[in-house]
Amino acid sequence: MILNIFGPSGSGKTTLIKNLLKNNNLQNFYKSLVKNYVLKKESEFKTSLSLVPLPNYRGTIKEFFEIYGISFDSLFKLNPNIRNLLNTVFLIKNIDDINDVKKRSVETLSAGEIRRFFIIKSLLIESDILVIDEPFSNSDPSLFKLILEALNCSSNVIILSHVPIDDIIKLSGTISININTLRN
Amino acid sequence: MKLINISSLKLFYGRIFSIRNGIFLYLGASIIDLITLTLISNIFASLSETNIKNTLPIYTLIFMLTIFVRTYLVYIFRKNGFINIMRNKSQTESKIVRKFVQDKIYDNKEEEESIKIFKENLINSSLTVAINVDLPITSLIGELFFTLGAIIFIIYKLGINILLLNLPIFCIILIFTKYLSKRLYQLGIAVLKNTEDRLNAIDNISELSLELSAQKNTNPIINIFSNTNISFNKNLARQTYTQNAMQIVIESSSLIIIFLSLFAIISNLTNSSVSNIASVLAILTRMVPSITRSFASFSQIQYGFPAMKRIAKLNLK
Repeated sequence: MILNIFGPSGSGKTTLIKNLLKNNNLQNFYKSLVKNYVLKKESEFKTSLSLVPLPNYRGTIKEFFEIYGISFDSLFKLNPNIRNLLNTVFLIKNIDDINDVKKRSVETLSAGEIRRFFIIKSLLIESDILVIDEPFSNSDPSLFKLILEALNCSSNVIILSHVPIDDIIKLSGTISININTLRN
Repeated sequence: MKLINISSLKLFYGRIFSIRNGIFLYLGASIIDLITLTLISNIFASLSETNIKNTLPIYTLIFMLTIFVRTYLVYIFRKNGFINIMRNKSQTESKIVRKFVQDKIYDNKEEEESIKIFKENLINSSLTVAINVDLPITSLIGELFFTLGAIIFIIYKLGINILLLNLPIFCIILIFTKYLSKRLYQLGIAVLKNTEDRLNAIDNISELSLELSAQKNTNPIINIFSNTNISFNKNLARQTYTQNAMQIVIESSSLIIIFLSLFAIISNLTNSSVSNIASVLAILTRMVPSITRSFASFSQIQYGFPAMKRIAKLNLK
């Protein structure tokens, strides 16, 4: 289920997520809005986070994947929607492609590619809730659908955006909430 | 040895010129030491020639006053010498920042590489050059000046035989220094690379910490940081014990030098009077640590030399 929290810049979307994480309240918050979510023990609860501004990581993609505990083998067994998104960053058809990708430096990716790369990273790591801030930023509108379809592969997703994602693309089962409504 | 290479020598002279004020101040301290030793030697000579009961209080007073003035003046000269070197370090660092900002749009290096090198230059290389090149050069020149003066003094008192007697020991120290210097130079290069990687790892940890914290995943990044950090600390340990080995050998050699010198005086190999023992002992007391420091400084410079080369390559103006 995708929960979309939208509001203009500076309205406190990222701060809300950070505070929920700080107070171990993210699960309860998600459950209060998405009824079928099953609460986990807080010690076992994992969040896959990708907030903007994105981390300025300097190093190879191999090291980056190692840090997040992502296996390169998993790239061959991807869900088709995630694979389609991955193909917008780099094409991986065989082991040679993997070796080229491993050596590549993360900072050689363009702004849009880095945004999508971090989304893919978030989808590949083991987590209970995925939090993605501005997933469409720096990407061509033709890629919005791909991004959303890839995110929809995850069971529990929170998307933070400027405008409701319904205004960008229609996707069934999405809950969109204005951050100002949450304050009230 | 790397220093014998012409371009390296040029770099080296350039560096000496840039810290000339600090060197002059340190030389001032060495001159004070030489004057002090001459005075003390004269006091010892006078004590052995006159009636000790009448002259002891006045000579003791002169002796104590000389030592006190020497201590104060040497401290002041060296203090200002070191302050001067650190001022030079601050200027170098400002130039590194200016050069990095000015040349940023013309930089052909990859962003990651460029930032890594900039940070390394600013945080490590400039410090390494100050601690492992500038200070040892200053100390080496000052100590060698003192040692030269002291050797002339000893030759004047005991003759050339004393030098010939100790020559094999100096040769052994020189061979050992050459071997250790080579190792220190290689370690200097390794530590520069380690420092770049370490700074990069620290930056990456701070950038990714929030995401990893939310993911409750700390082990992989700790492993990656540890690999870099262990290699860095291993090389630092190697540098420390290599320099320490140098010091141990020189300390032992110094004891042999003192023993041989005293043996030469007592057995009349030098044809000098036993009254010279006090003067020679006074000189050796100051000269032996001076030689120790000189050799230690020389090997330390080898360790800092790769960093000095790197800073020189920046062509800072």
